[in-house]
Amino acid sequence: MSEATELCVVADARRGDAAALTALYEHFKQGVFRFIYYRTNDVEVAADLTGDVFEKMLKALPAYQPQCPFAAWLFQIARNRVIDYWRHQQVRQNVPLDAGLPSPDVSPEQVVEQRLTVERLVRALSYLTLDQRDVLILRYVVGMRIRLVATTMEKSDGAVRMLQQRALEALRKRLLLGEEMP
Amino acid sequence: MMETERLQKYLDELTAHRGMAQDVAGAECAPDLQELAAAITNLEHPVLPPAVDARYQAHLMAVGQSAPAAEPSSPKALAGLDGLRTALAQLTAGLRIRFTRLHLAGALAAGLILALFGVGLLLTIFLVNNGRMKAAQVTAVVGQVEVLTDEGWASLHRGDSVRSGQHIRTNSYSSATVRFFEDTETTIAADSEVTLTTVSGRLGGGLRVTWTQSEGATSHEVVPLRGRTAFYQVETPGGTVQVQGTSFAVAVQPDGQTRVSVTEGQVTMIGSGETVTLQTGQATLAGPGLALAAAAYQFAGQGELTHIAGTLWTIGNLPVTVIGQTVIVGDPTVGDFVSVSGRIVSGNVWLADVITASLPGASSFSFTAAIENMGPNFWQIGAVTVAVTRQTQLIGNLELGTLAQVTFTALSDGTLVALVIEEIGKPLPTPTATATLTTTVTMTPSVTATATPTMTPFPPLIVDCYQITFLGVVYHPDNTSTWTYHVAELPCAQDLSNWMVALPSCARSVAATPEPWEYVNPDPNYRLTGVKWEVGAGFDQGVFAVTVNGHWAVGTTQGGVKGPDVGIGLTAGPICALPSPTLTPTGSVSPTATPSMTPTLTPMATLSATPTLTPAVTVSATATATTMATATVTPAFTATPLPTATLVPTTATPAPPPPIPTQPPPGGSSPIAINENGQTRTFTCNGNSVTINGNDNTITLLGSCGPVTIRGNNNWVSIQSATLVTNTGNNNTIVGP
Repeated sequence: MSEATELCVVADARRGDAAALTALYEHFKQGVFRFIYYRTNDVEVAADLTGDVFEKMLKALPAYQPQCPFAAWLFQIARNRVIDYWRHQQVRQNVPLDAGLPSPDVSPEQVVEQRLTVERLVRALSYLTLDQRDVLILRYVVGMRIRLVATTMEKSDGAVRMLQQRALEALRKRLLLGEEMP
Repeated sequence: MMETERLQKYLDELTAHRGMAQDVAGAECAPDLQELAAAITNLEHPVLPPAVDARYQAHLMAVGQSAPAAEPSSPKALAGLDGLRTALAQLTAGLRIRFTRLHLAGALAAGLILALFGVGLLLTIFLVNNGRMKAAQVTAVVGQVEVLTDEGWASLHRGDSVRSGQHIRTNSYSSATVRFFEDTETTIAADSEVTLTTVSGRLGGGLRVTWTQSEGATSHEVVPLRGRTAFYQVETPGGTVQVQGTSFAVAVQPDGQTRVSVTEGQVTMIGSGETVTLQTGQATLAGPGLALAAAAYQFAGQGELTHIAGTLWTIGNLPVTVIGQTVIVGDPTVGDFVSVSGRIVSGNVWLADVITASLPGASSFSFTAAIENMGPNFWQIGAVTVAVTRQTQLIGNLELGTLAQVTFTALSDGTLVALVIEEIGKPLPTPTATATLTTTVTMTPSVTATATPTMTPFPPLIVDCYQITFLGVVYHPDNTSTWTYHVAELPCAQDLSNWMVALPSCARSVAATPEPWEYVNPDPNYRLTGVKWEVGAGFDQGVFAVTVNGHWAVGTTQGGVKGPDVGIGLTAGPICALPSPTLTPTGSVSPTATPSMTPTLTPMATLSATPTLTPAVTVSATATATTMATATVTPAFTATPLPTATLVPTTATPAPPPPIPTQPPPGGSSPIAINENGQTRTFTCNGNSVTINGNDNTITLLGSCGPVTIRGNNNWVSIQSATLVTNTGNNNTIVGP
């Protein structure tokens, strides 16, 4: 372990520094929880899986490679944990984008208050692809920059930008259409 | 990559978590999508349940206990760590962790000491101040929010305190929520600057808060204040907002223009020596050099900007008036999708306060007002008439007087179709205007009665050196009304080609003078619907009148002139609201006058109407002495130029009613059937049934009708009274009963 790496709080945490561990947890807990929540739409499940993620973080810290941003590494754990969860649930978690889409020509009678809420966002996200969901959640809910999202999702910056653009457009369309669940 | 560079990069990445809102909608996004991205970021996202949170923290501490101790770092390393500590301290929002090389036991001991110290400090502060609170707590921070300290601007975090005199600013896509005790909350939106000028109070009552808002937007949820000395106010460049317990918002533009809007409750705005009281759903505008605007119901919505004609912008088919005070964010052009918020003023003018770019999508708008009339197909809500269809969602206990929020969309023909009408409460009693009827009878040799309600005549409209003056309205017994205007070319004018006055959907023209005139729906040049007159060569001035179906209140409409260019402005005209209580001085006047006496005129008039005296008054005056009678009329009425009626001592001679430009109704007692197309006709029902099979007719049904059945299409039907109205046709407009 290099001297510089030891400088960072992650290194302290890796050595079991309680304050450093707590700092990491405090900093990332809501982001991880929200990422999982928007992928599961269940507060209890999200809370449980958040604990799993930090548990796994503790176990995996010794193997952590500092060349990878810690946030990206942590959210990769979170992504994998969600995938495992859905795999065990054996429940379809994705809806094809074109499934049940009404005509984009919205009649005046179909227009309702467009205020965005968490519930509407969750419903609308459910119509996006998994990658689209992840990029929106990581970018705008968790607050990552493009580069960090790209590292987390193991994609190029350009791919994430394109994914983000399409995800926003798909989300906008869904929100404007009322995003009823099929 | 050098380790130091890598570390710096790492710090940048970590910091990005805190500054995420700064670039949530980075340059890589289109502007419309940026707004959506910002909306996502600004949502109140769910949080990890506290109980679970505490359990995990304990678990982490336990893991830390079992881990080996950290190794000491070099001085150089420690120097670099300071920056990281700072960054983490900012990131951890309320959790102040001092990174040390303490063993866990040391950390726990330090934590315990800190906790005890904190409790002691709070207790001391509480005791020293005798239970008084002198700070508010920051309960939420999104993005970058800073507070001005002795050492300059410092980041503000959740859990921090804000004290009297402290200055707070928010960056783009950032916000902060500050909570006072008793749950009163203030939210400071993005790009705002405020000062917490005063904060004091005592648990149990007596909250005293003064915000000074120099720029940006804030919203306030004020729990009803307790105690005589309690206050909550916001000082702005446009005046001071005072509340006792309500929800309201304040937006201050860089030039000091201030908009205050009320979500719930009542707010008093004091500015420029004037005071305006706002009720739920209302807003006002003020600012340096601006008179405090009267309270008006607010509206908001979005749609495509399809047309700009002078001050009139068409947004989602809704004509919106844009004036110099309107704040336009960006440079929207025709074809752009925009959001608009503003106020409904002078009856039915949608005056824009702010216009900004928006997400493309379907157009919809909303406004708040009291329900004043509930017809089968149209409701009058405030001064706005909206169509109510089977698709309209009616939520809550909606009845006359209910304060309702209406979400609607505007059709291309100007019809406003209600999508949702939702009860939000009963309107609070509002101060009422007072009309004074002063009747003076002069007995030698005649008696003169003059009605003088307190009112402000509508100012002439001057556009492009043409002047349009509203002369008044005459309400006819056949449920029509004639609206008269004087139009003149000023010396600076070029030749007037034509001019027009806009009419609302409820008021269909049945006649007009002079010829030639036409009903335009809409006119391609003015983009207005109403009556247009062509004026001949050599025209310099003239009087124009249009008679419309129905008795409508005088409000604000649009007038247009076309010389070399088209110009549009505001003038008086009919609005889709019933006239306020009509002052109809038709009655007996006693005592009988004799030439040698000054009689007392006791107007037995029915003071139940707009104090608009119709020239066609019938006053039987028998007076014996001269008197002056004063009647007070409540509530407010609409200003209208008033005629003066002259009474003859014995019997006043009524002015002859103007000709009624309607076709004679078919008499008799047989059912009425309209099978023709494109007709404009008026019928007196006399209890008969009515069937309209034709299309494109303008039909006025007077008196009491039996069942009215409309099978044709595109008819405009005004019904005074009917036992049943059945509409099986398409695109029919039914006004009343």
